[in-house]
Amino acid sequence: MAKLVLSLNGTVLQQRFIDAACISIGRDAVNDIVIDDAALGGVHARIVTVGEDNILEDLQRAAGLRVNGSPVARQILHHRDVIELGAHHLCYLSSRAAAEIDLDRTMLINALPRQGAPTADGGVLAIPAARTAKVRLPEGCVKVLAGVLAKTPAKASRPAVGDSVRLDRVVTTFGIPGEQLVVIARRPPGYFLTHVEGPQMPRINQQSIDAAPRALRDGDLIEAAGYRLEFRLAPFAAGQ
Amino acid sequence: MRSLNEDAAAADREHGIAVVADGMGGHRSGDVASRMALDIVMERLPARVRQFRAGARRPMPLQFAEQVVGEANRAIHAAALEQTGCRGMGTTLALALFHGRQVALVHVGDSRIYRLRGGRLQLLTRDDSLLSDQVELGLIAAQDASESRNRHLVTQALGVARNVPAHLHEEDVQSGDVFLLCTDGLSDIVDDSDIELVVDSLKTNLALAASHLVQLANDNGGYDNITVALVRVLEPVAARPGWLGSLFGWLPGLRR
Repeated sequence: MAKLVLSLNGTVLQQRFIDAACISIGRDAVNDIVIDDAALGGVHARIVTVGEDNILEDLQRAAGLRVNGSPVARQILHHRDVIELGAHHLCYLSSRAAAEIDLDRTMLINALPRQGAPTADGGVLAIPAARTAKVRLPEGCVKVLAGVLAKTPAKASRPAVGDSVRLDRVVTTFGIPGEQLVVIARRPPGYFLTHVEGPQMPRINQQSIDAAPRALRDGDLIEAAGYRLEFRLAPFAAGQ
Repeated sequence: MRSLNEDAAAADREHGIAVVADGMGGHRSGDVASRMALDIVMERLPARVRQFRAGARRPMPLQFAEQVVGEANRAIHAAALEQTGCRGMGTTLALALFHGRQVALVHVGDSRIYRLRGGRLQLLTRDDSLLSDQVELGLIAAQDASESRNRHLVTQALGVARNVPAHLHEEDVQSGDVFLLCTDGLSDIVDDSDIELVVDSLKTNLALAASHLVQLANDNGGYDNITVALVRVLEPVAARPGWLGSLFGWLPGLRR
């Protein structure tokens, strides 16, 4: 269970577990956490708990609420966040950091009550993916030495001879979908070339590869889908 | 590749069925629940499809798909009450049933169905999750949802009650469409923009697209079952069975 530690000028005044669905903070005696500070409103803010989230809400927009120095209207609290309340500091401590929660254990929980009908059918809300620890990815590119796709009209997106194509997306394809195609995947351990489709298997340094993904090394010469490509790996990532 | 999770997806090209499930519950009972859901759907749905194709106008595919999912729910619920160690087990389910120029979508829990059309990926389902509720009710902003710790909390699952409401939805189908069914092991950890890029780039080789998606989730630190099923529509012609293109390239994910 998360905990709040109230302090003034470095001296701890009070501690409290977040043991209720809603914890109010302010100057009035009705609050769960009463802070005698002239800068605060009667009921200044509250912390609402939904599932595993403790959400801080500002109830006195005029006065403003700051967390770690930044103004906040409503925010999910994180371990060691400092809520600034006048001269007082309220520190949020959660022994369960998001990364430590066993996300593998899917559990059932009651849905939140809805007021009225759900929003009219139409847009489905896009819930973004979780923020994961930053994955370190290599930096690489290919130089187009030759392209022999003369029979098809060149598309704007298709690289031309002499171009250097940065491999900065998770996958980059070369060739024509439905005919002859290869993919270069960008992954933490490096870049990998895989045959997608077409009668001709790609060649790396004049050696045909099979259907399995092949790790690319700096300077490799790739012949695939009508292209001759030189693979370059940025030096700072090469030693990984 | 280990296959604890091979049970989590199934597809039947002849009858136009694709389904994924993600079980929950202690002592591996979640695997029991997801297996039961897939078995019941794959056993009973094809016969209903054949009746429909033979000319039965009622019920329509969305209705009989819902009925079969309801049967799966009651079977899982009964098993959870009877078998020790299975109490409280449940499973998510995302089901796509292709018929003519339509697809019937049935889902429960936080497994998802997306459609790629014209290079754009669109989410077609709404998660039964606390996080979705939080965002819809304005408790947190959508862009802050990536900070939430409520990812693993679903508000609905098959098997947890005698009657469980499923989301029902019909969508049109065009040739070239790619449908992606996946568990939260993918959508929780890979951005939609990367899913879109991989599916669009590799849609002519669905097995490779599926393996790249699973790999991407694992590279991002995948912590959950990662299950995907992909369906590409070649030519939707109602009169011709077997119009579904290389239906399916599903790959089981790995538990880390």
